[in-house]
Amino acid sequence: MNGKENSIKQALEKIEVPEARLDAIIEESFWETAAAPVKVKRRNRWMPAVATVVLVAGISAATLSAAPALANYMAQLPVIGNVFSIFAENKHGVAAFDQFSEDVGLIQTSNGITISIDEAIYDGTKLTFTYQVASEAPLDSSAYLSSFPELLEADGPTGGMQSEVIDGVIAGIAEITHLDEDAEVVNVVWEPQVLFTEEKAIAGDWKFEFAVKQLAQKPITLDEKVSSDGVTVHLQELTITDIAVNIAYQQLVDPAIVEAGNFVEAELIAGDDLGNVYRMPFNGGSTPGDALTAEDFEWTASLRGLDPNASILTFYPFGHISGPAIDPKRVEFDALEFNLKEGTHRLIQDPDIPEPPPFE
Amino acid sequence: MQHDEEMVAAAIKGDRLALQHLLKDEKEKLYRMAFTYVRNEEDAIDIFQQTVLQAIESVHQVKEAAYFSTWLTRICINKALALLKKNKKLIVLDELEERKAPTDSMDIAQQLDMEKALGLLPEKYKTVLMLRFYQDFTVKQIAEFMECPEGTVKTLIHRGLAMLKRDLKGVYADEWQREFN
Repeated sequence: MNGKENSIKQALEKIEVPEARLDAIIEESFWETAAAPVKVKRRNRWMPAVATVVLVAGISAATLSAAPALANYMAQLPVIGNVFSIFAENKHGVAAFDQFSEDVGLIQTSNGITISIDEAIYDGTKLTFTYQVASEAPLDSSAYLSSFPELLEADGPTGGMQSEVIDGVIAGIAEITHLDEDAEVVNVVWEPQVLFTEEKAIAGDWKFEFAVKQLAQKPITLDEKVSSDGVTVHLQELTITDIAVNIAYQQLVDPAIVEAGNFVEAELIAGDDLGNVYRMPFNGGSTPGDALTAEDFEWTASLRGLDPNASILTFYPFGHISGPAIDPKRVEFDALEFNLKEGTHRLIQDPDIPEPPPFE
Repeated sequence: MQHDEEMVAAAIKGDRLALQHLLKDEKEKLYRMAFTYVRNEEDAIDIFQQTVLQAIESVHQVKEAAYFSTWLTRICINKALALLKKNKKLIVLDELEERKAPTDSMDIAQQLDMEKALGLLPEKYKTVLMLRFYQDFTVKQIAEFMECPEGTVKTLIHRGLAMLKRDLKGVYADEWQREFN
């Protein structure tokens, strides 16, 4: 054993790295933070919809310069109009999006790179749209587009993007979390700046502005409270859209827990009568102005990909109390069973909470 | 690791795809550093995941693109130290068992390789040696990172190497060690 073999750097580089797991963690973390942004302790209710003017296809004449040949080429690609299906295997519930989304159909070209936005959908909690990027020469698998789209109504970027290069064309999906069930329309602005590949960075002048209408929804009042260990979960309202089931709830925390410096996060998991179990990531939360404690967050959480044959959906609230002086403690509550056919609900005491499904 | 400054700047401004690429570039180093602290894959992955989440949430706080790697390394080390602190009793037991076994067999040099020996060092020596010899930080950068004088960093490196030499029964000798002798 010589000195070189014993060097610290070489020793560390012998540690096997579970690359696939680490890549999955990175990708999941971006999706998770897109679906559940860091909770912001503000004292106001949800930000109202600011924009009242619909900016449908508000692109300038200068950017309407898509090369006809390239646009025609993109229109012939088999993935056109079907980008949702590319990501359906990885994103639970995305497959149904294609059926309910709006056609956006914007195309712009700059520096030989053409970007198209194909379809978009907004359900009151999240905007999702698909896009494609093509060059005069096929793009390699390292290609990706810089800069994240934003909503005029949002406080900054709160989303995630995912893309794949198929037949030399980037097919991508973007999600922007935005909770405003009262908004009839949301307005998207996306100004990609650079197309990166391993070999080069191509700057361009693209800017997309478009509006997306919210899907029809049917709010159902629940108004049920379940309590345990000083925490109450107030299940307030259920909204069922074509692509998601959204539930609004508030956690009400015993002031003694908060005064001890602890934090509480109540979450939900759901299961149907067919044996399917669904994660319900929350979309964001805020503390209402009249809350008793700073931890009395109001949340909404969404279930996507509900089995269309399900007739009963059960919501299982659970939570964690954590703080600097205690070990994290899991709290479980009674469940709420909702009959999807009849629109009725009832509480179930001491339920067996199912294990959450693995991350996809 | 030197990154494309344009990509780091984009990540700081909120370009999540740019940040995703940067994190993938750094993943091996972050994981290996985490593993050296905790010596098991599950905890190392846990640290890695916490590092990634914090990076996503607070990348906007990076003041200059040149400090991106340093900033990310700091998050990883802090997460590792926090986990060690939480599991302190467990780690102490593991250390006792690991240290006891080679003594019984009377031949530490054959049983303890560099990676294990590094993992068994007290945290401050482990940290300074990994920053210097794995992340290739300069003494000045480590001093800024650890918020201590450069002389202290040199002392920690010297003592850390001496401990490694002792644990490896003198088989460790490379150009970096000579630098501090």
